[in-house]
Amino acid sequence: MAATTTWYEQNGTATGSPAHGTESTISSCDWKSVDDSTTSRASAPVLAGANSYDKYIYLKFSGTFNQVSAVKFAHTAGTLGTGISLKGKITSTYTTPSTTALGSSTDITSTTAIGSGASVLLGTTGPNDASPAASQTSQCYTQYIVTQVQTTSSANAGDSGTVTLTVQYNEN
Amino acid sequence: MRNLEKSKFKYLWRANFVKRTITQHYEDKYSRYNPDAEWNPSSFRDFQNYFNNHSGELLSFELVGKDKKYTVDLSRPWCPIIYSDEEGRWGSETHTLLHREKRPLSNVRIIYYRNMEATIIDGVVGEPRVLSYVIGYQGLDKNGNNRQKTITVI
Repeated sequence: MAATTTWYEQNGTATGSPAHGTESTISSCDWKSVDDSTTSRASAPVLAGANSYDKYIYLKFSGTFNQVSAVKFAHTAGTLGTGISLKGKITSTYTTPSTTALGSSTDITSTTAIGSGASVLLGTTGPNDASPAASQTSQCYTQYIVTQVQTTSSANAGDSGTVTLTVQYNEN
Repeated sequence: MRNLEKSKFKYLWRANFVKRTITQHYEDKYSRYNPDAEWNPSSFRDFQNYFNNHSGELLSFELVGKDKKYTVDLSRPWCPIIYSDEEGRWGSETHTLLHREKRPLSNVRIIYYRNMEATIIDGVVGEPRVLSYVIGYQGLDKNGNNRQKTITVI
C-alpha cells in the first residue's frame, strides 16, 4: 500500500462558502462544450473558434502515508494541434465553469518538464481549503487544477492530439 | 529482507537502532493500523515516533532491494556517510562509498521518500507509480545552516 490517489472533478454553479461545485470521482477528463464529467468529448465537441468549459480537477490523498509533499503539475507530453491552445492555473477558488477565456491562467500548450511544473499546495478540508500548505501529514487534497482548451478558426476538424497531464509528488 | 518478496515496492527501508530494528511493513502499514479508517499513517511514522525519543541511538537507515542495499551510516552521527552494497552475479559483494559528510553536523535526521507520478493520458486517468526512492540525511553545521544530502534510487 501507499497513498491512494483519487481524481475528482467539480462542475456546475459555485455554491457555499468556500465556494465549490458538485463533486464527482472521475476516470476520464475531457475538454468539452458541456460542463460535466460524464458526456464524451465526441458528443460535446468544442467547435473551431470556441473555448471548452473550464475543468476543475483535483486529487485526494488517502490510504497509507506519513506525509505527502512537493506536488507539481504540468503538461508533460503530446500536442493538441494547430489552432488549439491549452491554458491552466492552480487555485483554491472555485468559480462556475464557463467558456469565457480562463482568467489569470498560464499558457501550457507547450510541454514542460515536471520539475519546472506549477507548484500545487495541499489542504485537509478540500481543494478550496483556505490555508493550503506544501505538505500534509494526514488525508488531504490538492488545490484545483484548472484547465481549458481554447481554439481559433484555424483548428482542424476532428479529434485533437493526445496530451499527457502529470502530477508528481513525494510520499513516505 | 523477507518482507520484500511480498511487497509491491522495489525497495523497503530498515532502521537499525542500538536496541531495536524497525523494518518497513511490506504493505507500509503503521503498527497501529486501523482497517476502518480512510487514512492511516505509514510505517515511516513508527520510525519517526521511535527516533523522536531515541535520536542518538540510530546507527543506520537502509534502503534494501533484491540485489542492492543503500545505507545512510550514522554510527558516527556527526559525520554521516552513504554507501551502497551490490550483490554480484556469483554472490560476491561490491561496497561503494557514495558520499562522506565533510563538515561536522548536529541534529542529524533521516530523509526518506518515494517520488511518485499520477498521469492523465488522452483524458484517461492512470494509476500512480513510483518514479524513484530517495534517502539521505539533513543536519545543522556549526553555523546553524541546514545541510542535506540525498541519493535517488530508481
